[in-house]
Amino acid sequence: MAIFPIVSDPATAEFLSAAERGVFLIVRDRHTGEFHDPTTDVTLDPENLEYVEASGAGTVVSWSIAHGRNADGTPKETAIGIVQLAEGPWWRCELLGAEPGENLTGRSVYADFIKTGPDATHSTEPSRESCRLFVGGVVG
Amino acid sequence: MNNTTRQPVIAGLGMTELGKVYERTPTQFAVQAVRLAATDAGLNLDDIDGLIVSDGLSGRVGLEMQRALGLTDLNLFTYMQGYGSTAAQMVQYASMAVQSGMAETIAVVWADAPLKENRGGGSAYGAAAASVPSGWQAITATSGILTPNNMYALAARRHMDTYGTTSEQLGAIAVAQRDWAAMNPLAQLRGTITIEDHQTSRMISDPFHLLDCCLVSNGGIALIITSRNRAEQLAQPPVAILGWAQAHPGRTGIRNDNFGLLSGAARSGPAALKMAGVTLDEIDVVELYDCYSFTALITLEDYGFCAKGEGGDFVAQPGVLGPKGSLKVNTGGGQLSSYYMWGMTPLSEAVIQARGQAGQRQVTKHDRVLVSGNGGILDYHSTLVLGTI
Repeated sequence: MAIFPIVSDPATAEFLSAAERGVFLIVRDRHTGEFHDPTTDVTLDPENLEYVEASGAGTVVSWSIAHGRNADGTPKETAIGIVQLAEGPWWRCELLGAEPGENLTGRSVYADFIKTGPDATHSTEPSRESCRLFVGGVVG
Repeated sequence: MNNTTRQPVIAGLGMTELGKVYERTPTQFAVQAVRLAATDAGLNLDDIDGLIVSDGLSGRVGLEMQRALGLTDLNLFTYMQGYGSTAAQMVQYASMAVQSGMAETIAVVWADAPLKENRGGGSAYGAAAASVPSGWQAITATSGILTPNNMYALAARRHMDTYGTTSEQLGAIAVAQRDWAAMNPLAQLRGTITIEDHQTSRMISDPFHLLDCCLVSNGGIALIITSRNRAEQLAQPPVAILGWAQAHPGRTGIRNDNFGLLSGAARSGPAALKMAGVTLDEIDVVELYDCYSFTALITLEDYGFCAKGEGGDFVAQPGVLGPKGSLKVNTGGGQLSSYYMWGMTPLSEAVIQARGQAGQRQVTKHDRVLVSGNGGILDYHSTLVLGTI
Protein backbone atom coordinates (compact mmCIF):
# COMPACT_ATOMS: atom_id res chain seq x y z
CA MET A 1 0.00 0.00 0.00
CA ALA A 2 1.21 3.47 -0.80
CA ILE A 3 2.54 5.38 2.20
CA PHE A 4 0.86 8.57 1.04
CA PRO A 5 -0.85 9.72 -2.14
CA ILE A 6 1.23 11.81 -4.48
CA VAL A 7 0.25 14.48 -6.98
CA SER A 8 2.23 15.08 -10.14
CA ASP A 9 4.27 18.24 -10.62
CA PRO A 10 5.84 19.69 -13.78
CA ALA A 11 8.94 17.53 -13.40
CA THR A 12 7.02 14.28 -13.05
CA ALA A 13 3.82 15.01 -15.04
CA GLU A 14 4.72 13.18 -18.25
CA PHE A 15 6.11 10.19 -16.42
CA LEU A 16 3.09 9.88 -14.14
CA SER A 17 0.66 10.43 -16.98
CA ALA A 18 2.20 7.46 -18.77
CA ALA A 19 2.12 5.42 -15.57
CA GLU A 20 -1.63 6.11 -15.45
CA ARG A 21 -1.82 4.21 -18.74
CA GLY A 22 0.40 1.40 -17.44
CA VAL A 23 3.42 2.61 -19.38
CA PHE A 24 6.88 2.92 -17.80
CA LEU A 25 8.84 5.76 -19.39
CA ILE A 26 12.59 6.11 -19.46
CA VAL A 27 14.74 8.66 -21.24
CA ARG A 28 16.68 7.99 -24.43
CA ASP A 29 19.32 10.00 -26.22
CA ARG A 30 18.13 10.18 -29.83
CA HIS A 31 21.64 10.37 -31.21
CA THR A 32 23.60 7.89 -29.10
CA GLY A 33 20.72 5.54 -28.37
CA GLU A 34 21.79 5.54 -24.72
CA PHE A 35 19.06 5.18 -22.11
CA HIS A 36 18.84 7.23 -18.91
CA ASP A 37 16.70 6.87 -15.83
CA PRO A 38 13.28 8.57 -15.84
CA THR A 39 14.35 11.36 -13.50
CA THR A 40 16.62 12.79 -16.21
CA ASP A 41 15.16 16.19 -17.13
CA VAL A 42 14.48 16.02 -20.87
CA THR A 43 13.72 19.74 -20.99
CA LEU A 44 17.39 20.52 -20.39
CA ASP A 45 18.36 18.97 -23.73
CA PRO A 46 15.19 18.60 -25.82
CA GLU A 47 17.17 18.24 -29.04
CA ASN A 48 18.68 15.00 -27.83
CA LEU A 49 16.59 13.61 -25.00
CA GLU A 50 13.15 12.07 -25.26
CA TYR A 51 10.88 9.85 -23.23
CA VAL A 52 10.42 6.35 -24.61
CA GLU A 53 8.54 3.35 -23.34
CA ALA A 54 10.58 0.85 -21.35
CA SER A 55 9.97 -2.87 -21.35
CA GLY A 56 9.31 -2.81 -17.62
CA ALA A 57 11.54 -5.82 -17.07
CA GLY A 58 14.55 -5.65 -14.80
CA THR A 59 16.97 -7.34 -12.42
CA VAL A 60 17.56 -6.60 -8.74
CA VAL A 61 20.96 -4.93 -8.18
CA SER A 62 20.62 -4.54 -4.42
CA TRP A 63 17.88 -4.78 -1.83
CA SER A 64 17.01 -4.09 1.78
CA ILE A 65 14.20 -4.80 4.18
CA ALA A 66 13.14 -1.48 5.67
CA HIS A 67 11.74 -1.88 9.16
CA GLY A 68 9.10 0.60 10.23
CA ARG A 69 5.65 0.85 11.69
CA ASN A 70 2.17 1.12 10.29
CA ALA A 71 -0.09 3.98 11.31
CA ASP A 72 -1.58 1.77 14.06
CA GLY A 73 1.88 1.12 15.51
CA THR A 74 2.24 -2.45 14.33
CA PRO A 75 5.61 -3.44 12.83
CA LYS A 76 5.98 -3.23 9.08
CA GLU A 77 8.67 -4.67 6.84
CA THR A 78 9.05 -3.36 3.31
CA ALA A 79 11.32 -4.94 0.71
CA ILE A 80 12.98 -2.21 -1.31
CA GLY A 81 15.58 -2.34 -3.99
CA ILE A 82 17.56 -0.94 -6.85
CA VAL A 83 16.47 -2.56 -10.09
CA GLN A 84 18.46 -2.42 -13.30
CA LEU A 85 15.94 -2.09 -16.08
CA ALA A 86 16.52 -4.19 -19.17
CA GLU A 87 17.52 -1.03 -21.02
CA GLY A 88 20.24 -0.27 -18.45
CA PRO A 89 19.00 2.53 -16.18
CA TRP A 90 18.48 1.89 -12.49
CA TRP A 91 15.18 2.41 -10.69
CA ARG A 92 14.56 2.44 -6.95
CA CYS A 93 11.34 0.78 -5.87
CA GLU A 94 9.51 -1.57 -3.57
CA LEU A 95 9.88 -5.26 -4.29
CA LEU A 96 6.76 -7.35 -3.91
CA GLY A 97 6.51 -11.08 -3.67
CA ALA A 98 9.76 -11.65 -1.83
CA GLU A 99 9.90 -14.52 0.62
CA PRO A 100 11.26 -13.60 4.07
CA GLY A 101 14.98 -14.20 4.31
CA GLU A 102 15.64 -14.80 0.63
CA ASN A 103 18.52 -13.10 -1.16
CA LEU A 104 16.94 -10.97 -3.84
CA THR A 105 20.08 -9.89 -5.64
CA GLY A 106 19.94 -10.89 -9.28
CA ARG A 107 16.24 -11.78 -9.25
CA SER A 108 14.12 -10.84 -12.24
CA VAL A 109 11.31 -8.35 -11.75
CA TYR A 110 8.77 -6.52 -13.86
CA ALA A 111 7.01 -3.22 -13.42
CA ASP A 112 3.54 -3.02 -11.98
CA PHE A 113 1.42 0.03 -11.23
CA ILE A 114 -0.98 1.15 -8.55
CA LYS A 115 -2.95 4.29 -7.90
CA THR A 116 -1.44 6.10 -4.92
CA GLY A 117 -4.61 7.70 -3.61
CA PRO A 118 -8.37 7.78 -4.03
CA ASP A 119 -8.72 11.24 -5.55
CA ALA A 120 -8.70 11.97 -9.25
CA THR A 121 -5.63 14.14 -8.72
CA HIS A 122 -3.68 11.33 -7.10
CA SER A 123 -1.25 9.83 -9.56
CA THR A 124 -0.61 6.32 -10.54
CA GLU A 125 3.07 5.63 -10.27
CA PRO A 126 5.31 2.66 -10.79
CA SER A 127 7.73 3.07 -7.93
CA ARG A 128 5.57 1.99 -5.05
CA GLU A 129 4.53 -1.47 -6.13
CA SER A 130 6.15 -1.39 -9.49
CA CYS A 131 8.62 -4.19 -9.35
CA ARG A 132 6.82 -7.39 -8.64
CA LEU A 133 9.14 -10.26 -8.17
CA PHE A 134 9.41 -13.31 -10.36
CA VAL A 135 9.69 -16.13 -7.87
CA GLY A 136 11.37 -19.20 -9.30
CA GLY A 137 10.79 -17.87 -12.79
CA VAL A 138 7.06 -17.60 -12.28
CA VAL A 139 5.46 -14.21 -12.51
CA GLY A 140 4.47 -13.22 -9.01
CA MET B 1 54.31 24.12 1.01
CA ASN B 2 56.97 26.69 0.06
CA ASN B 3 55.53 29.83 1.62
CA THR B 4 55.35 28.78 5.25
CA THR B 5 54.21 32.19 6.46
CA ARG B 6 51.00 31.83 4.39
CA GLN B 7 50.56 28.15 5.21
CA PRO B 8 46.97 27.70 6.38
CA VAL B 9 46.46 26.35 9.85
CA ILE B 10 43.58 25.70 12.22
CA ALA B 11 44.03 28.05 15.15
CA GLY B 12 40.70 27.78 16.94
CA LEU B 13 38.02 25.21 17.71
CA GLY B 14 34.62 26.03 19.17
CA MET B 15 32.10 23.35 20.12
CA THR B 16 28.73 24.07 21.69
CA GLU B 17 26.91 21.58 23.85
CA LEU B 18 26.18 18.65 21.57
CA GLY B 19 23.43 16.07 21.49
CA LYS B 20 20.03 16.37 23.10
CA VAL B 21 20.21 20.13 23.52
CA TYR B 22 16.82 21.63 22.78
CA GLU B 23 15.18 25.00 22.27
CA ARG B 24 18.00 26.55 20.29
CA THR B 25 18.00 27.31 16.59
CA PRO B 26 20.83 26.29 14.27
CA THR B 27 21.80 29.97 13.96
CA GLN B 28 22.02 30.30 17.74
CA PHE B 29 24.29 27.24 17.88
CA ALA B 30 26.39 28.63 15.03
CA VAL B 31 26.87 32.03 16.66
CA GLN B 32 27.90 30.42 19.92
CA ALA B 33 30.33 28.08 18.14
CA VAL B 34 32.07 30.96 16.34
CA ARG B 35 32.42 32.90 19.61
CA LEU B 36 33.87 29.83 21.30
CA ALA B 37 36.30 29.23 18.45
CA ALA B 38 37.53 32.83 18.54
CA THR B 39 38.01 32.68 22.28
CA ASP B 40 39.79 29.33 21.96
CA ALA B 41 42.22 30.90 19.48
CA GLY B 42 42.77 33.95 21.66
CA LEU B 43 41.05 36.26 19.20
CA ASN B 44 38.27 38.80 19.34
CA LEU B 45 35.33 38.53 16.97
CA ASP B 46 36.45 41.68 15.18
CA ASP B 47 39.71 39.93 14.26
CA ILE B 48 37.69 37.76 11.89
CA ASP B 49 37.69 38.95 8.28
CA GLY B 50 36.23 35.86 6.63
CA LEU B 51 33.17 33.77 7.40
CA ILE B 52 31.96 30.55 5.77
CA VAL B 53 28.70 29.07 7.04
CA SER B 54 26.81 25.84 6.52
CA ASP B 55 24.10 23.76 8.11
CA GLY B 56 22.22 20.49 8.20
CA LEU B 57 18.66 19.95 7.12
CA SER B 58 16.73 21.34 10.05
CA GLY B 59 16.98 25.03 9.31
CA ARG B 60 19.13 27.47 7.47
CA VAL B 61 22.31 28.93 8.89
CA GLY B 62 22.68 31.55 6.21
CA LEU B 63 23.91 34.97 5.44
CA GLU B 64 22.19 36.39 8.51
CA MET B 65 25.25 35.15 10.37
CA GLN B 66 27.32 38.25 9.60
CA ARG B 67 24.79 40.47 11.28
CA ALA B 68 24.19 37.99 14.09
CA LEU B 69 27.89 38.05 14.91
CA GLY B 70 28.19 41.81 14.35
CA LEU B 71 30.96 41.34 11.80
CA THR B 72 31.72 44.20 9.42
CA ASP B 73 33.99 44.67 6.42
CA LEU B 74 34.49 40.96 5.75
CA ASN B 75 36.83 40.00 2.93
CA LEU B 76 35.21 36.60 2.41
CA PHE B 77 31.68 35.52 3.23
CA THR B 78 29.59 32.71 1.81
CA TYR B 79 27.32 29.75 2.44
CA MET B 80 28.48 26.32 1.29
CA GLN B 81 26.72 22.97 0.96
CA GLY B 82 28.16 19.61 -0.03
CA TYR B 83 26.30 17.66 2.64
CA GLY B 84 28.71 15.52 4.67
CA SER B 85 31.66 16.72 2.62
CA THR B 86 30.98 20.36 3.51
CA ALA B 87 33.11 20.79 6.62
CA ALA B 88 36.34 19.78 4.89
CA GLN B 89 35.32 21.77 1.81
CA MET B 90 34.91 24.89 3.94
CA VAL B 91 38.38 24.38 5.38
CA GLN B 92 39.74 23.97 1.85
CA TYR B 93 38.18 27.22 0.64
CA ALA B 94 39.40 29.05 3.72
CA SER B 95 42.88 27.60 3.25
CA MET B 96 43.08 28.85 -0.33
CA ALA B 97 41.88 32.27 0.80
CA VAL B 98 44.61 32.40 3.43
CA GLN B 99 47.24 31.25 0.95
CA SER B 100 46.26 33.91 -1.56
CA GLY B 101 45.98 36.68 1.00
CA MET B 102 42.30 37.17 0.20
CA ALA B 103 41.49 36.93 3.91
CA GLU B 104 43.59 36.52 7.03
CA THR B 105 41.39 35.05 9.75
CA ILE B 106 38.41 33.00 8.66
CA ALA B 107 35.72 31.38 10.77
CA VAL B 108 34.05 28.30 9.32
CA VAL B 109 30.96 27.08 11.10
CA TRP B 110 28.35 24.32 10.81
CA ALA B 111 25.28 23.86 12.98
CA ASP B 112 22.07 21.87 13.04
CA ALA B 113 19.16 21.21 15.36
CA PRO B 114 17.13 18.31 13.95
CA LEU B 115 16.31 16.74 17.32
CA LYS B 116 13.03 17.78 18.87
CA GLU B 117 12.09 16.99 22.43
CA ASN B 118 9.85 13.92 22.74
CA ARG B 119 10.44 12.96 19.12
CA GLY B 120 12.66 10.09 18.05
CA GLY B 121 15.92 10.72 16.27
CA GLY B 122 14.85 8.42 13.45
CA SER B 123 12.26 10.92 12.30
CA ALA B 124 14.73 13.76 12.04
CA TYR B 125 16.12 13.03 8.59
CA GLY B 126 14.87 11.98 5.22
CA ALA B 127 11.60 12.15 3.40
CA ALA B 128 9.77 11.12 6.53
CA ALA B 129 10.73 14.44 8.09
CA ALA B 130 9.09 16.43 5.32
CA SER B 131 5.34 16.96 5.65
CA VAL B 132 4.59 16.19 2.01
CA PRO B 133 7.51 15.19 -0.23
CA SER B 134 6.98 16.26 -3.81
CA GLY B 135 8.27 15.44 -7.28
CA TRP B 136 10.66 12.56 -7.80
CA GLN B 137 11.42 12.50 -4.08
CA ALA B 138 7.77 11.67 -3.43
CA ILE B 139 7.82 8.85 -5.94
CA THR B 140 10.85 7.31 -4.26
CA ALA B 141 9.37 7.88 -0.81
CA THR B 142 6.12 6.11 -1.65
CA SER B 143 8.25 3.07 -2.44
CA GLY B 144 9.25 2.89 1.21
CA ILE B 145 12.68 4.41 0.55
CA LEU B 146 12.26 7.14 3.11
CA THR B 147 15.63 7.93 4.63
CA PRO B 148 19.37 7.69 3.98
CA ASN B 149 19.22 4.55 6.14
CA ASN B 150 17.53 2.77 3.24
CA MET B 151 19.90 4.00 0.54
CA TYR B 152 23.06 3.28 2.52
CA ALA B 153 21.64 -0.16 3.33
CA LEU B 154 21.31 -0.78 -0.41
CA ALA B 155 24.93 0.30 -0.85
CA ALA B 156 26.12 -1.96 1.97
CA ARG B 157 24.13 -4.93 0.67
CA ARG B 158 25.80 -4.59 -2.72
CA HIS B 159 29.23 -4.59 -1.08
CA MET B 160 28.28 -7.66 0.95
CA ASP B 161 27.00 -9.54 -2.09
CA THR B 162 30.02 -8.62 -4.17
CA TYR B 163 32.82 -9.12 -1.66
CA GLY B 164 31.37 -11.29 1.08
CA THR B 165 31.37 -8.55 3.71
CA THR B 166 29.30 -9.59 6.74
CA SER B 167 27.14 -7.84 9.30
CA GLU B 168 29.46 -9.03 12.07
CA GLN B 169 32.37 -7.32 10.31
CA LEU B 170 30.39 -4.08 10.22
CA GLY B 171 29.74 -4.66 13.90
CA ALA B 172 33.48 -4.73 14.57
CA ILE B 173 33.62 -1.07 13.55
CA ALA B 174 30.76 -0.13 15.87
CA VAL B 175 32.32 -2.00 18.80
CA ALA B 176 35.78 -0.47 18.27
CA GLN B 177 34.42 3.04 18.01
CA ARG B 178 32.37 2.63 21.18
CA ASP B 179 35.58 1.65 22.97
CA TRP B 180 37.03 4.98 21.90
CA ALA B 181 33.85 6.83 22.86
CA ALA B 182 34.07 5.40 26.37
CA MET B 183 37.06 7.71 26.84
CA ASN B 184 35.43 10.78 25.28
CA PRO B 185 33.51 12.98 27.72
CA LEU B 186 31.74 14.63 24.75
CA ALA B 187 30.35 11.34 23.45
CA GLN B 188 26.62 10.78 23.65
CA LEU B 189 27.06 6.99 23.97
CA ARG B 190 29.88 5.76 26.20
CA GLY B 191 28.81 2.31 27.41
CA THR B 192 30.89 -0.40 25.80
CA ILE B 193 29.17 -2.86 23.45
CA THR B 194 29.90 -6.29 22.02
CA ILE B 195 29.36 -7.89 18.63
CA GLU B 196 26.39 -9.68 20.19
CA ASP B 197 24.93 -6.32 21.23
CA HIS B 198 25.36 -5.19 17.65
CA GLN B 199 23.73 -8.28 16.22
CA THR B 200 20.77 -8.12 18.58
CA SER B 201 20.15 -4.40 18.23
CA ARG B 202 16.95 -3.79 16.33
CA MET B 203 16.98 -3.92 12.58
CA ILE B 204 16.63 -0.54 10.87
CA SER B 205 17.06 -1.35 7.21
CA ASP B 206 18.57 -4.75 6.54
CA PRO B 207 21.56 -5.23 6.73
CA PHE B 208 21.81 -2.27 9.12
CA HIS B 209 21.08 -2.77 12.78
CA LEU B 210 20.60 0.23 15.05
CA LEU B 211 24.26 0.07 16.05
CA ASP B 212 25.35 0.47 12.43
CA CYS B 213 23.69 3.89 12.26
CA CYS B 214 24.89 7.30 13.39
CA LEU B 215 23.42 9.35 16.15
CA VAL B 216 21.30 12.43 15.64
CA SER B 217 22.58 15.50 17.46
CA ASN B 218 21.89 19.18 17.92
CA GLY B 219 24.74 21.67 18.17
CA GLY B 220 27.36 23.65 16.33
CA ILE B 221 31.10 23.50 15.69
CA ALA B 222 33.37 26.23 14.33
CA LEU B 223 37.01 26.50 13.37
CA ILE B 224 39.31 29.47 12.90
CA ILE B 225 41.58 29.20 9.86
CA THR B 226 44.51 31.59 9.58
CA SER B 227 48.12 31.71 8.47
CA ARG B 228 50.84 29.86 10.31
CA ASN B 229 52.63 33.15 10.82
CA ARG B 230 49.69 34.63 12.65
CA ALA B 231 48.74 31.44 14.49
CA GLU B 232 52.14 31.25 16.15
CA GLN B 233 51.15 34.36 18.12
CA LEU B 234 47.84 32.87 19.25
CA ALA B 235 46.62 30.71 22.11
CA GLN B 236 46.55 27.17 20.71
CA PRO B 237 49.09 24.90 19.03
CA PRO B 238 48.45 25.44 15.31
CA VAL B 239 47.23 22.47 13.29
CA ALA B 240 48.67 22.62 9.79
CA ILE B 241 46.40 22.05 6.82
CA LEU B 242 48.86 20.16 4.67
CA GLY B 243 46.80 18.66 1.89
CA TRP B 244 43.28 18.57 0.53
CA ALA B 245 41.19 17.26 -2.31
CA GLN B 246 37.64 16.52 -3.37
CA ALA B 247 36.06 13.84 -5.55
CA HIS B 248 32.42 13.68 -6.55
CA PRO B 249 31.69 10.54 -8.59
CA GLY B 250 28.49 11.76 -10.26
CA ARG B 251 26.71 8.45 -10.31
CA THR B 252 25.12 7.49 -13.57
CA GLY B 253 22.40 5.30 -12.10
CA ILE B 254 22.86 2.94 -15.00
CA ARG B 255 24.52 -0.41 -15.62
CA ASN B 256 28.14 -0.58 -14.45
CA ASP B 257 27.50 2.07 -11.79
CA ASN B 258 29.85 1.22 -8.91
CA PHE B 259 27.40 2.39 -6.22
CA GLY B 260 28.24 0.66 -2.95
CA LEU B 261 31.53 -0.60 -4.30
CA LEU B 262 33.66 2.52 -4.69
CA SER B 263 33.46 6.01 -3.17
CA GLY B 264 35.05 9.37 -3.93
CA ALA B 265 37.65 8.58 -1.26
CA ALA B 266 39.50 6.52 -3.86
CA ARG B 267 40.45 9.69 -5.74
CA SER B 268 40.38 12.39 -3.10
CA GLY B 269 42.50 10.45 -0.59
CA PRO B 270 45.57 9.90 -2.78
CA ALA B 271 45.28 13.45 -4.15
CA ALA B 272 45.25 14.98 -0.67
CA LEU B 273 48.15 12.80 0.48
CA LYS B 274 50.16 13.76 -2.58
CA MET B 275 49.56 17.45 -1.93
CA ALA B 276 50.70 16.98 1.67
CA GLY B 277 53.76 14.99 0.62
CA VAL B 278 52.67 12.22 2.94
CA THR B 279 52.28 8.50 2.32
CA LEU B 280 49.54 6.39 3.83
CA ASP B 281 51.92 4.62 6.19
CA GLU B 282 52.92 7.98 7.65
CA ILE B 283 49.35 8.67 8.80
CA ASP B 284 49.07 8.40 12.58
CA VAL B 285 45.35 9.06 13.10
CA VAL B 286 42.38 8.50 10.79
CA GLU B 287 39.14 10.38 11.36
CA LEU B 288 36.47 9.07 9.02
CA TYR B 289 32.98 10.22 8.17
CA ASP B 290 30.94 7.30 9.53
CA CYS B 291 27.27 8.02 9.08
CA TYR B 292 27.06 4.22 8.98
CA SER B 293 29.57 1.53 9.92
CA PHE B 294 29.70 0.69 6.23
CA THR B 295 30.77 4.23 5.31
CA ALA B 296 33.85 3.83 7.48
CA LEU B 297 34.60 0.44 5.93
CA ILE B 298 34.39 1.56 2.31
CA THR B 299 36.44 4.68 3.07
CA LEU B 300 39.21 2.58 4.63
CA GLU B 301 39.26 0.47 1.46
CA ASP B 302 39.21 3.45 -0.88
CA TYR B 303 41.95 5.29 1.00
CA GLY B 304 44.04 2.15 0.54
CA PHE B 305 44.42 0.88 4.10
CA CYS B 306 43.43 -2.51 2.70
CA ALA B 307 42.67 -3.93 -0.73
CA LYS B 308 39.31 -3.32 -2.37
CA GLY B 309 36.81 -5.84 -1.11
CA GLU B 310 38.90 -6.84 1.89
CA GLY B 311 37.56 -4.18 4.23
CA GLY B 312 35.41 -6.63 6.14
CA ASP B 313 38.27 -8.98 6.97
CA PHE B 314 40.51 -6.01 7.71
CA VAL B 315 38.29 -4.30 10.30
CA ALA B 316 37.36 -7.57 12.01
CA GLN B 317 40.97 -8.69 12.34
CA PRO B 318 41.94 -8.58 16.03
CA GLY B 319 44.39 -5.82 16.85
CA VAL B 320 43.52 -3.49 13.98
CA LEU B 321 40.79 -1.16 15.28
CA GLY B 322 40.02 0.22 18.73
CA PRO B 323 42.19 2.01 21.29
CA LYS B 324 44.69 -0.86 21.40
CA GLY B 325 44.64 -1.42 17.66
CA SER B 326 47.38 -0.69 15.18
CA LEU B 327 45.24 1.77 13.20
CA LYS B 328 43.81 4.68 15.20
CA VAL B 329 40.43 5.25 13.58
CA ASN B 330 37.65 7.54 14.81
CA THR B 331 39.27 8.11 18.14
CA GLY B 332 36.39 10.06 19.64
CA GLY B 333 33.81 7.40 18.84
CA GLY B 334 32.80 8.89 15.51
CA GLN B 335 29.29 9.66 14.43
CA LEU B 336 28.21 6.21 15.58
CA SER B 337 28.93 6.93 19.24
CA SER B 338 30.08 10.50 19.94
CA TYR B 339 28.03 13.17 18.15
CA TYR B 340 26.66 13.74 14.66
CA MET B 341 27.79 17.10 13.40
CA TRP B 342 28.14 15.88 9.82
CA GLY B 343 31.72 16.54 8.58
CA MET B 344 32.57 18.49 11.71
CA THR B 345 32.57 15.25 13.74
CA PRO B 346 35.76 13.77 12.22
CA LEU B 347 37.25 17.23 11.74
CA SER B 348 36.83 18.35 15.35
CA GLU B 349 38.31 15.12 16.69
CA ALA B 350 41.21 15.47 14.25
CA VAL B 351 41.99 18.93 15.62
CA ILE B 352 41.75 17.72 19.21
CA GLN B 353 44.09 14.79 18.49
CA ALA B 354 46.58 16.83 16.45
CA ARG B 355 46.79 19.38 19.26
CA GLY B 356 47.42 16.61 21.75
CA GLN B 357 44.39 17.60 23.82
CA ALA B 358 42.38 14.37 23.73
CA GLY B 359 43.06 13.40 27.33
CA GLN B 360 42.62 9.71 28.11
CA ARG B 361 42.09 8.84 24.45
CA GLN B 362 45.04 10.83 23.13
CA VAL B 363 46.99 8.94 20.50
CA THR B 364 50.69 9.02 21.33
CA LYS B 365 51.90 9.76 17.82
CA HIS B 366 49.63 12.33 16.21
CA ASP B 367 51.75 14.21 13.71
CA ARG B 368 49.69 13.37 10.63
CA VAL B 369 45.91 13.05 10.66
CA LEU B 370 43.75 11.99 7.71
CA VAL B 371 40.17 13.32 7.70
CA SER B 372 37.32 12.34 5.42
CA GLY B 373 34.02 13.98 4.55
CA ASN B 374 31.29 12.08 2.76
CA GLY B 375 28.03 13.52 1.48
CA GLY B 376 24.82 12.36 -0.12
CA ILE B 377 24.70 8.63 -0.63
CA LEU B 378 28.44 8.24 -1.32
CA ASP B 379 28.00 11.08 -3.83
CA TYR B 380 30.40 13.74 -2.54
CA HIS B 381 33.80 13.35 -0.94
CA SER B 382 36.42 15.60 0.58
CA THR B 383 39.72 14.80 2.27
CA LEU B 384 42.08 16.76 4.49
CA VAL B 385 45.56 15.92 5.70
CA LEU B 386 46.30 17.77 8.93
CA GLY B 387 49.45 17.84 10.99
CA THR B 388 51.49 19.24 13.77
CA ILE B 389 54.06 21.92 13.03
